[in-house]
Amino acid sequence: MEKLLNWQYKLGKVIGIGAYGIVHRGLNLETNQIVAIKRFYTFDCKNGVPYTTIREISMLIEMYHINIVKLLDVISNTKNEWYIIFEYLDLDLEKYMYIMHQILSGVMYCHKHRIMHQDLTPDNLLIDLNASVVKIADFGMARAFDFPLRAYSPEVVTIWYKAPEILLGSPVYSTAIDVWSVGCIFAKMLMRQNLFAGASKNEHLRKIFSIMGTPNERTWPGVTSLPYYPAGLPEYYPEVISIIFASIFFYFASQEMLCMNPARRISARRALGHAYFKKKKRKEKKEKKMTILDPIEKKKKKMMMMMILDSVSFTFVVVVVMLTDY
Amino acid sequence: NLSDYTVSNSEEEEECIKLLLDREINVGFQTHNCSHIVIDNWIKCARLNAIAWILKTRSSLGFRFQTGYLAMTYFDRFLSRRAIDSDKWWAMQLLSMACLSLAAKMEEYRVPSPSEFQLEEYNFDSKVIQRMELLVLNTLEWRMSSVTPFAFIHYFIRTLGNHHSPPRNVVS
Repeated sequence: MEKLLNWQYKLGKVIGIGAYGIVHRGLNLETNQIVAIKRFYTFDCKNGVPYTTIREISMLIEMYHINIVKLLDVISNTKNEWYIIFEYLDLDLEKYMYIMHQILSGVMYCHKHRIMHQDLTPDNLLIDLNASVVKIADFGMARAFDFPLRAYSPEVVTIWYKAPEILLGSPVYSTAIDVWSVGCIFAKMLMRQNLFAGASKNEHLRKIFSIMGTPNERTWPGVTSLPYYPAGLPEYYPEVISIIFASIFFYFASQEMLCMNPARRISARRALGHAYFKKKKRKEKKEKKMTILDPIEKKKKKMMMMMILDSVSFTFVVVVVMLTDY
Repeated sequence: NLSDYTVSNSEEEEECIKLLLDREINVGFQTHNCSHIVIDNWIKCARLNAIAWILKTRSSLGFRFQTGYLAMTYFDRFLSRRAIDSDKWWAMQLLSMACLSLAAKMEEYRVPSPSEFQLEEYNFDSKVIQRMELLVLNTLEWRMSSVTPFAFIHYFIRTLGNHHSPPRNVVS
């Protein structure tokens, strides 16, 4: 049922349910603009205003970037109910492959402004289907950081997208945790399933190690003295991911964004400067022209072609490497 | 190596510092707006009391210095926008409590519920504290991630001191 929120906004159907509130579609009656309205569950009086609400609003209020969800308004009523008004976006991430560039530039913007998102997951990335723009949302776990980075609460980021340094209990961590999450999202977009998906923390670590190789003092100095470094783990060697997924595209992600050693993991800024994205940008421009004539179907076909081409060329590279090796 | 965890590229760091400076200037106090505010003795005295209470409570709850500083800036920003009637000591107490609670929610990992912040003279209901938090949030237009001098300290130490990273615990 539609109802009036106040003189300015009309509350529509529910479009998402989260841990802290419900998101409705809404209408700004003044401008006729469709908006998203996040309604918070009633605050528990004992703790006052939840810290997630305070952080989300105060961080978003100072961010202006095309790849960060735009906060339009904060309103309250006499019943002490609180609502945040956001720009309205379609919620589907799976359709686009070149969104990585946009995600990374949003992440880079956050890092440049000393903000770690800490909870990058596919459901926190929203897409405007009409404009083909991705926006990073849900800053409830985000925090500002200062130099040098100090120990942060280890219980952040949904486990599947958690960086190994968090799982291993490292006392210090950095913006590299967001890059790891982006790498996992990237993998998920390509594979349509999670690359690492353990039911528990230990199982998850084992999964990561079994694909990326067990880290040691050589690949990641200091790793064996981290609090949760599992003893007696089999010495896995890094799988040639490229053979599993057969794509140069993915190879890039796995090697640099999913580097286990956070100190060597690529930064959002460097990843953006990567040759792959430069190529991507040009394609993006071409595709934008295409969309006017023919929307999603053609894009899908083109992406499939790109993936096939990537895997073909990669298989070729692998064959050449194997031939030169033996 | 700790410096690996910080922004590695000094150019990037310079850019960060510039952005921080811009933000600090934008959110900071605008003196021309404050000139009309009459700061009488009562306010001065109440402010000193509030600062003393914030500092004391900060150390007894084990909060970082940043948190105490942030709470004080919220307090001052609030008073620069809204007046509190003379002799309403309870309102000042409530304001300092809400400011410290809000600062802790922005900065700390373990945030005690506001009722853990003991006050000597007054005992506020949690609903009242929450209302005050909301009043502060609204008055400050939810601009709570103020830039404090702490964000610059490490940069200045490193830049002025031979480009060596300062020890991690210089300020915490």
